[in-house]
Amino acid sequence: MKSSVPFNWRLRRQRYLLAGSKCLSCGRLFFPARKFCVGCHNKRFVEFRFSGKGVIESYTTIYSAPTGFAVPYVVGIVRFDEGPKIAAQIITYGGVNVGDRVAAVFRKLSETDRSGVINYGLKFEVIV
Amino acid sequence: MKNVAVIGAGQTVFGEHWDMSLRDLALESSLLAVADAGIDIADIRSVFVGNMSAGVFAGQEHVGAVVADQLGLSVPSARLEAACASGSVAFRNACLGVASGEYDIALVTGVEKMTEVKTNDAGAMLMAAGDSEWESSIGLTFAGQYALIARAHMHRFGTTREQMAMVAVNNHKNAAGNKFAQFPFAVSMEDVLASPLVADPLRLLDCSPITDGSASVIIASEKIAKKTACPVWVLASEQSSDTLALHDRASLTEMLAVKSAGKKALERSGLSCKKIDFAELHDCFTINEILNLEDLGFCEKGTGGRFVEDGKTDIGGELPVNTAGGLKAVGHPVGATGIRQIIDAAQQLRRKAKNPVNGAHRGITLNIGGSGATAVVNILSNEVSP
Repeated sequence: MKSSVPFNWRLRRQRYLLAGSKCLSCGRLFFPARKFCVGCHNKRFVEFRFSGKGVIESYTTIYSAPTGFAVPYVVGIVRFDEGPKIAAQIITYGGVNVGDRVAAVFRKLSETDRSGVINYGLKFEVIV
Repeated sequence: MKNVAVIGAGQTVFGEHWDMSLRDLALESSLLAVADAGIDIADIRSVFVGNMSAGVFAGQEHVGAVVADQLGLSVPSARLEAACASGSVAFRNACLGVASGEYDIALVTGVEKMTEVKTNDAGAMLMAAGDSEWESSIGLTFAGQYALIARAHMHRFGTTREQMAMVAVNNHKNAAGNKFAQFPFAVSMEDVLASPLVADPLRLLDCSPITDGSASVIIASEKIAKKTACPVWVLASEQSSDTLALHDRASLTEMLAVKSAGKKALERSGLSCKKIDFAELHDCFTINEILNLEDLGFCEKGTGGRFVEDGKTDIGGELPVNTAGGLKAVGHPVGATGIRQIIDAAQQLRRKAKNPVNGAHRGITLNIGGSGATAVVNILSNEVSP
């Protein structure tokens, strides 16, 4: 898994501020941010901050994981209220279901690797 | 486009080859294909290599040169990479090269050497085929991606755990006695359902394995192919793309690249699904075979599980699928799989298959990269035109 300091640094606004992008031509929203609109082929964007609120579209509990991740953990596809979807770890309190509402939280993503970098980023918490 | 055909095929045993390197595997299958085609090595005008990740799995890039070097060839040779669809993408480009008239004979070798790294590391390396920024970085694995697809398919269409298990049961049954298969034995429904969870709801026996292996075919022009005993004609070889990340898809339960490549392949060959006698599908995880059946148009969206449960994919069924064992039981050396599918389809059409599909004239192969970002569909026949 790629986890250099610049790799994580480049993603800081998206991971920590939920900063996606909005196409200035057609208004389409993107998270993760894109710099080229795959809908209308426009290249002019502004940053768009997502609310972090959304709904679980699917989920899985992972039991066999890459080095650096402690199993088991839940990964889901979250559909933001604003439309776009993102894969993320889900923090559950006794279970999760398709359709559950979730909110974005700031958490540690993975343990340190040989570079000593700790990866922080986006997870979602089931709203009880 | 000019007609081209497969005139020779060869593969190594798929499995753990502790005594064979990447180059040993590639050489063995290449030489077997050359011998099967009845050509001389010097007749090869170009080499196309399908390989996903020799750099990280075996510390060896420049894989096109590796294969040409092993064969003592001084011809154009390059590696094509499209994750688990690398083999089919190499095959397609070799077909285009021969169809263009530039080469009259081309060698395609798909190879992957995967067992020199630990299983967890192999999983992480494979996940480089997903979105490195938003999928692998958060701990999503390939089994996890297909588990997300499976859960969505179960939730939306009522697909059952047993229907997915039936895919593994069928493919293992078909692999029994296949001397090239990593797992040439049957498993029961109970075995699948009792195997350890990998990514809920997928269990170990829903997953294709980590495998070493190589598979090669010789592609020739119509003029040369017509002089050979049993050419297998390439009626279509089509490819499409979709978003790299699973979360960027409008629907988790269909693969637009598969639908697009499948539609183009049927159109180019002038065939409909009813005219296809058997299929080699991409059962990297059991749920995917169910999706493949739907997305290629062999059944309605949402009914793939029932299609399998009703026995329609059995040998002798409406559409026999993975008659030699598929990725699940033959094994999945990622760069080799697309070529192995072509070989197993060719064996059916040459009447050499262990589990024959009676009277088969046309077969379809579907090879998928990642969670569906690349799809290649080939239609093969033992008749030059359908």
